[in-house]
Amino acid sequence: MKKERFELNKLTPFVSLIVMLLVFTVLTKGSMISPYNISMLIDQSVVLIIACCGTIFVSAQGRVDLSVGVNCAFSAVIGDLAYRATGSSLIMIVTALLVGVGIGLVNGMLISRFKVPSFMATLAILIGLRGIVNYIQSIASVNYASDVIMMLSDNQIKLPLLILIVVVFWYLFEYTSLGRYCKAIGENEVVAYSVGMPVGRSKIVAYALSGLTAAISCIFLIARLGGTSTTMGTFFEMKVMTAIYVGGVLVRGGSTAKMYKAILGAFIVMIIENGLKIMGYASSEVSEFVQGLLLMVILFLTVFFELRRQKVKKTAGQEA
Amino acid sequence: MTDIILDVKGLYKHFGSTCANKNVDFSLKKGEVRGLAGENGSGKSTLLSQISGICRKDAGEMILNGEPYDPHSPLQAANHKIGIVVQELGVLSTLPAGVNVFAGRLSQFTRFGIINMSALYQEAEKQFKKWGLMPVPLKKTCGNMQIETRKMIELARALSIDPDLLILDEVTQSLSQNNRDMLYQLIEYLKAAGKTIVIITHDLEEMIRLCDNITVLRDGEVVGTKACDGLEPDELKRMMVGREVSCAYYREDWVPDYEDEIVLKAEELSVSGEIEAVSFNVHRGEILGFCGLSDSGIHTVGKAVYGLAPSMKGRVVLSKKSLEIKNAGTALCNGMAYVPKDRDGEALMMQDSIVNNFVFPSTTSLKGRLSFLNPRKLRTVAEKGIADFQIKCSGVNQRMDGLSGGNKQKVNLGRWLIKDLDVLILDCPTRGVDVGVKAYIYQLMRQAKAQGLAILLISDELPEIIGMSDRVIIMKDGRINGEFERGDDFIQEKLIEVMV
Repeated sequence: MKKERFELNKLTPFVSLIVMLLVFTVLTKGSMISPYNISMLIDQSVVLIIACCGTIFVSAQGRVDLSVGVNCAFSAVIGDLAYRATGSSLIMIVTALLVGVGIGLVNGMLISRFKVPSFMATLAILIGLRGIVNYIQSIASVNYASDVIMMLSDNQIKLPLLILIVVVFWYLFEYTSLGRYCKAIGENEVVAYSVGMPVGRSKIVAYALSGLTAAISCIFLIARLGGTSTTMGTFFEMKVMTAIYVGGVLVRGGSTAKMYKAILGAFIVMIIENGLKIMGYASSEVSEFVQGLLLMVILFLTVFFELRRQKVKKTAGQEA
Repeated sequence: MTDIILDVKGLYKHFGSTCANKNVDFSLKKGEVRGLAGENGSGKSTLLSQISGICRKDAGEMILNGEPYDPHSPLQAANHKIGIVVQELGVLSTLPAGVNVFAGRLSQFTRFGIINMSALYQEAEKQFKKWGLMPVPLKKTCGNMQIETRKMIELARALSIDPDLLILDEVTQSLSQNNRDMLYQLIEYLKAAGKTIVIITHDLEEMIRLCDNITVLRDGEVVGTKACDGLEPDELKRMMVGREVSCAYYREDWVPDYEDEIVLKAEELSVSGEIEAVSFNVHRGEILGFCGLSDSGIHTVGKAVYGLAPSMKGRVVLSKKSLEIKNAGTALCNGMAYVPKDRDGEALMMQDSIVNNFVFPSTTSLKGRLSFLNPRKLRTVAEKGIADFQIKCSGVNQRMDGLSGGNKQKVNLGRWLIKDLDVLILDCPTRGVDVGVKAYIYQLMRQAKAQGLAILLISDELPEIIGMSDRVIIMKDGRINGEFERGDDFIQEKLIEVMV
């Protein structure tokens, strides 16, 4: 009997997070970890973390959801229309969430019932809905968020809500059969099917959850931006996927998908963005280039450690 | 020139801390059929992997036709006229069968970077004809083909290089009787042509029948080489295990023994192109065997009963609750279990941990309040399973692909047997496992039978069907062609008569 090996790849997200934090603390001469900036950082991360909480269900299946960003924008503008029509913030929130879940369900149906590859299905939704969002915004002028929504920008309300959302999704993902089914589908869909797991239903639910969190994050985003905008949610889906993969989830999903990885990944992405901003590279060519470079390094190391683990295990155990 | 084709001296191979081959001396004569015997994990496959260039040796030397030989890829081995059919499935599932035959050697059909596909398919067809292999649809991709068909493709690939040394690692186990006979003839033919063949099979009687000599490995070392003349399987087993094997293998009673209560009824099951109007009942405590040649549809029956054939016509009914099984989900929740033939592809998540695989079918029953799946509880269940079913592993978090075939199969079976079952469907449960595990699996089946489970045993191996079943249904071309009860008629010849 061999001792169970301590697994290095479980550590990679922690290590990347700490290294990034240290590097930027040094480069920004300490202003990175000033209390003000830390609270800024958390504030900026909220939206991303929420979206990651739902999308991880999709990533666990080895699939992608490219419609997260556009879903965020679409739920926002439809919610906005509902608010204008009724004047009720509650109706706005409910509408936005329903729209988000609805888009997720459409994604899930396309993928599970009609066997469209997830990349193509969600890409089509991304392009199509972006057109509708732009159209609505071209006829309805930019609106400002209601007072009730603006309350969400207050940290004392925002953070408890964030924690609540994370706890609920963490529980669903790590401690219920739904999370297990999603991971099993990523491991080997044929196995999940042969055993008798509800494969189709799990796919639909995963996309619905991804849509739900996209809609929740859109409400927080409105609160932060003070209203909807035309560029809302662009590239957001990429950021969500980057966070999940940088956190150490492999593209194949399966048992490598863990909630903690998604959340750490979200922080890593935000630290890089925030650090470069403090250094004065905000929205410049340099910033994007450096972001890309850093992400590539982290992704390389993640995959490298995972593959090495596989290799060690495989060769050690092949005939044992 | 000497008549020795390959001489292996002092071969060592380590995988991490495990020593898979220790000081192995092994030499093969031209025109010899050699068997390699040993339990799972004794290093047979490792030895052959090194000869065929799949992995490289750590130390020692190999001499092929009097010249030093150290292949670093199967392609190089192929250039030395060494062909192998590997134990695990070795076809590229997204490529057409014909391309698979010549995978890695496409240059012979390539001009200016463009592959002449029609020439390739012609040549592939020629290979199948030349060696008398079962024809396969060459232009279809291999992904959806049955294991047996895929094995044929691999066989064609190994033979297409016109090998002087052919290595067959557990090939017969995936084949049904008619293709086995074909393979036996092929071996005779190659032997007569002065070619050398190395065979690994867990069916020791078959090995003794086919081979001239058998080399036994244990824990990576060569125990000895015996001539097959007059060799008894029991002696071989003793050499393999290193002690007397005394466990009862098959059932020893010769009367059917089950209760009258019908547990499951299958009525007129049809899956287009595979099975037609198959009806049968299974009783409490009965082992119902299914056997037939390839294309007889026996494997589809297993799938259909478990609700895995969506296009199926007919009904599968659990009598106790008079519940119709329409999909696998219903089957799973109502005391049915299905162990598919393709263990690594359809049953187990190879890259996941043992615990996740072990508790997988029990997910619904292990739920607590708020559908909470307590990780500690899951771990306990898996740990108990490992102890109960004597699974050799480093712990519940070890990855599945690190286990040997026998231990994988124990996980695969054990995870169902911990559940409260009524019906157990076993499709080739002893495929690719050694004698010890095989005996263990038969023992588990006897226990399950005693507990009153209704067992469907689908198998390509006639001795297994004869040894274990109370009744056997023989299928041909998707239809039921005969039925036997355990008794005097229960002999191989009679069953084969109905099969063909």
